[in-house]
Amino acid sequence: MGRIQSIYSFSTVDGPGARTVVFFQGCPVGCIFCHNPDSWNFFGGEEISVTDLIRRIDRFRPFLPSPPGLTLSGGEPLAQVEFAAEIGKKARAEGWHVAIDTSGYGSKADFARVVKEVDLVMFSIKHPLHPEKITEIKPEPVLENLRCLAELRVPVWLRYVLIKGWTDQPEALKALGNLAAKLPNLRKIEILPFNGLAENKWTDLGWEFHFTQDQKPVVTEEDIKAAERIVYAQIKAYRASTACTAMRS
Amino acid sequence: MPLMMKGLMNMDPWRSFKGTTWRQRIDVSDFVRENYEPYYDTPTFLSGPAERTKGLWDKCQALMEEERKANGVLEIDTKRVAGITAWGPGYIDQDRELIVGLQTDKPLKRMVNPWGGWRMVEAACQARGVEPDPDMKKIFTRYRRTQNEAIFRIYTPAMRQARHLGLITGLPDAYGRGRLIGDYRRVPLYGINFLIEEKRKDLYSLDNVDDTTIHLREDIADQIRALERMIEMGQSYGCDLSRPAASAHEAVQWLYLAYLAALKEQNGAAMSLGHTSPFLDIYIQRDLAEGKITEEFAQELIDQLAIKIRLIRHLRTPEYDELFAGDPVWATEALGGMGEDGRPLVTKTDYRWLQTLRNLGPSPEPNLTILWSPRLPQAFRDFSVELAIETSALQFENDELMRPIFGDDYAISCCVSATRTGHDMQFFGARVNLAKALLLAINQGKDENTGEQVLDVPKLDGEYLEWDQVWSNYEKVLTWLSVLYSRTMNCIHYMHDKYNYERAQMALIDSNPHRHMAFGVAGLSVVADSLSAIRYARVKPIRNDQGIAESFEIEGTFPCFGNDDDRVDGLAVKVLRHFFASLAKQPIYRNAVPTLSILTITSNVVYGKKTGATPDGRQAGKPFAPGANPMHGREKNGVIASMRSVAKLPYEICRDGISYTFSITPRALGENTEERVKNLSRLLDGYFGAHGHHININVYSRETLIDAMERPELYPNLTIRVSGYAVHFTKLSKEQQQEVIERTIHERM
Repeated sequence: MGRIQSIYSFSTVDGPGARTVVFFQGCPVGCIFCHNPDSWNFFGGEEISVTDLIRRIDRFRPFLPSPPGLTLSGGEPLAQVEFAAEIGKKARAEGWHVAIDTSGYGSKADFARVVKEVDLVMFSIKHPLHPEKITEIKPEPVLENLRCLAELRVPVWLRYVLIKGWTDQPEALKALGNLAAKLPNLRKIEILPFNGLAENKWTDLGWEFHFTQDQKPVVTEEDIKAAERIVYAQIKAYRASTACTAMRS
Repeated sequence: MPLMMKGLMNMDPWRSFKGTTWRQRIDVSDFVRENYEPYYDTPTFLSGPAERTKGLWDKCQALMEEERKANGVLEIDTKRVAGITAWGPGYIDQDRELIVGLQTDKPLKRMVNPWGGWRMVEAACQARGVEPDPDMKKIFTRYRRTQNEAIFRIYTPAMRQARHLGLITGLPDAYGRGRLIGDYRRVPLYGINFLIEEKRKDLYSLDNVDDTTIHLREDIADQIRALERMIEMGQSYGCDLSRPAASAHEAVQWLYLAYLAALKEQNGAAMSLGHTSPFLDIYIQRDLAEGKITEEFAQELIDQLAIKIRLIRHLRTPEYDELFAGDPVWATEALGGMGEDGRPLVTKTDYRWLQTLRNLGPSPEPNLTILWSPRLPQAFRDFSVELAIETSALQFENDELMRPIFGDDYAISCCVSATRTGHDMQFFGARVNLAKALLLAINQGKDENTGEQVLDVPKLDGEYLEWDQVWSNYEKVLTWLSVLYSRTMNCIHYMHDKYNYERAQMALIDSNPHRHMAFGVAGLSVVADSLSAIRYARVKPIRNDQGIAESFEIEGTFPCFGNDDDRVDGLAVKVLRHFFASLAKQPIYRNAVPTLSILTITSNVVYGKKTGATPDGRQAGKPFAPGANPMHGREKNGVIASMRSVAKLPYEICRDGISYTFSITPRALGENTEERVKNLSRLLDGYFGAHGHHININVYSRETLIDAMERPELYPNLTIRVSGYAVHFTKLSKEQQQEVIERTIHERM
C-alpha cells in the first residue's frame, strides 16, 4: 500500500514521449517554488495498493503510444520506497517504460532500491551548492545519491528549475555543469522556467507563497538558453580538463 | 464553362465503369463498390493551389471581408421567394469558375425564405435595416400558411410554456429543420431523367388507400416537380442535368448543382454534402487515366467545390445567431472509413479534400469529418491527424461503431448523426435542457427563474437534498418531459412536412425512406455532477420565499464527470437510459425510430444563460459545457481520463451522436510535429477503441484565443471546433468567445 495524490493520465512533459504520471503523496523536501504543495503532507491523498494502481493506469494504456510511459512523481517517490519499487517492478513487467522523478533526497540504500526498478531517473537538482536556501534539505545526501547514480547503469535526465535571483547564479550553473559532466549515463539536461503559476495552490492551503504577484520573477526563453550555454560550456570544459589529466598521467 | 459539356455530349457517360446491379436500378453504393480504387500511399501526389482558383478565392475573400465590415450581411434579396429556379444564373468571376452555381444571382447575397415563417423573415430583415417586399408579406400572411404559423396554431399551452422557459429549446418551428442529406451523387450518375422515371414508378405503384399512402404519393409528386426544376436550373447554367455526367468536371458540377437546388429551396440549419469522395474519385481517376485532366485540374475541381460551399449563406435572425454564430451550414463531408469488404474507402479525393485546407486556408466549411478506424491506411491516418493539428478544423468519428449499424455507405448529418445515404431521413428534434429539468425536480415543478408552475412534483423535505427523493422526482420529471417533448416534435414535423417540405432533397432519397426522430439533450455533465454532489457530498439548497432553490451550498467533495470515475460517469448513463427508455415508448410521427444526441454546438452558452444555479456549484446563468463535455476546469486527471468518461456514454441509445470537443495546447500534445501526430493518433485509437463516438480536435493555446478576441482583424481564418462543427473564432459573440476561452484546454506545466 502507498499514498498517492493523484494520477494524471496524459503528459508529454514528464519524461520521454506521452506518459501517465502518478503523483505520490508526501514530500520532505519543501521547495519554496513547489508546484504541488498539496502533495507534501504524508497523511493526505489517497491510500491505494500497487495492484489497484496498476489496474487504474492500465485503463489509460490503449491511449498511449508504445511502449506506454509511466512516471512516478510527487511528492517524493523515494519517501515511499517499497511502494515505488513495487510499482516500478510490476509496471515494467507488464511492458511500461517507467521513469522516476525525484529530488534524490533519501538514503543511499533506498535510492538504489528504487533506481533498480526503473528505466529512467529524472533527477531534480534543486541547487547544486546551496539547496538549503530554497528547500529544507542539505546538499550531501543528494550529492551522494547522484554519485551512486553514476555507478548504476540506468539512464539519467538532470532537471533544474531556473528561478531568477535564486538558482541562476553563474557559479550555481557551473556547479550543475560539473555534476552533469560526472554522469556517464546522462541523456538529457532539462532547464525549466519557474513560472510562479502555483500561487493559488499555496493560498488554498492557507500558506504564504514565497513569490507573490509583484515579485514573480519572470524567466524568458532567452534566460533558459543563456543558462544552458553556461551549463554546456562547463560540461565541455570539465570533460576537456579530465581528458587532459588522463593524458598526462 | 458550357464548352466542356458540349464536347462530351456524344461520349458514353458510363464508359469503362464496372458492375451491373447499379445499372438496373438506383444503387450508388454498388456503383462505388464496383469502381472505386482505394489509395494507400502518402499525400505527395497532391497539387498546390492553381493560379486560376487562387484568383477566384482571393476575390471571394475580399467579398467576405466586405461582408464582415457590413456586420455580417452583405446583401438581401427582399423581392423574390427562395426556390430552385427563383434566380437566373449567378457568377463570382465567370472566367475563373470551373464549378458554377450560386444560391442567388450574386455571391453572398441572401435569399428570403418565407416558407418556414414570416415573422422570422421580418425580424431578420429588420435587424439588417431592410423591409421585406410588401406583396410577399401579403402572400405569406394572408394567403399562404407557413410552417411556423401552422405549428403555433396547434401547440398546446404546455408546449408553449416549455418553449419559452427554455426547457425544450432550439426547436425547428420557424426555419427549415435541415439534417436531410439528399444522395446528390444520383444526379451525376444517372441524370435526372432516369431519376424522374424511377419516382414515377414509385408514384404509380401506390394507390390512394389511406392517409399514409396519400401523404406519401403527394410527397413523391412534389419530388418529381423538384427534379424538373433542377433540370431547368441546370439549363440556366448551361448544364444538362437530365443526362448522366460524362466527365469528372461534369460529375463535380452535377453533384454541386443537385446540392445547390436544396440550398436554394431550404434554409435548414444543417445541410450535409454526404460522403462523396470515393464517388467523385471514380470519375477523376477515369479522366486521369484517359489523359483528359491533370492532377492540378483534379485538385482545382475540389478546391472550387469547397469555395462554393464556403459561400453558402442563409438569412438568420439575431436570436438564431446567438445560438449558432458565424453562419454555419454544417456542410458536412465525410472522409475515410472502411468498406464492408475490408478495403479502406480512402481515395485520392479524400486527400484532395483535406488539401483544400492548405490550398485555401483553414475554414469551418465544409465540415470535414474523418470516419476513423484503426484499419485506415497509415498514411491517411497520419495526414488527417497532421491537418487536424495544423488547422483545428477537423472532426473524427468512430467508423467501427457506426458501420455495423449503418453499413459502409453512410454520411454524417449535421455534426454527429450517421445517416444511410439515400435511404434514411431524419426529423431534427433539437434538445431538452436536462439541467432545468433537474431544477424542476428540486423545486416542486416550478421554473427556477420565473416561479411558474410547470408540473406537479412532490416537495422535498429536509435541510439537505436527499439522493433517493431527488432521483425519484427527477425520474418523474424526465418521464413527463419525454411525453411533452415527443408530442412537440410530432406537431412540428407534421407541419413541416405539410408546409415546408424539402422536395429537392427528398427527391434524392428513396421514396419511402427509413425515418429517425432525432431527439437531443443538453447539460448532461451539469446534471451528472449535480447528482454526484447530492449523492456523495451534502448539498443544501438555499430557498427563496417561493421555495425555489436560488443557490446551493456544498459540503464535502464529490467525483465529477470527466475523471474516469465510474461513480459519477454511471450517473450520466443512468439519466440517459431513463430518458431514452421513456422517449422510446412514445408514439412518433410517421413511425419514425427515436434516436438521441448529446450535442449543443455553441448553444451551450444560451442554455446556461436560461438555467438557474445547479447543485454542482455552477452559478446561475453560467454556460454549460458543450455537447457531452465534462464541465470546464473539473477534469483533474488529464485528457485520457476525460476521454474515457465520455466514451462510457452509450452509443446504442445515443445513435444521433455524442459530441466531444477536445482542446489541447501544441506543447501538451507533444514536443514536435512528429510526436504530436503519433500521440494524437494513439489517443484517437484509444478513445474510439473505448467506444467513444465523436471528437473535435483543437490544438491551440489560450493566449492565441485571447489575442484573437482583442485583435480579430489579425485572425480572419482562425478556425476552432466547437461541439460538432467548426467556426471562425472571430465570428462568435463575445460571450461565446469567453466560454471557449474558459473551456478546459489540456496542458501540464
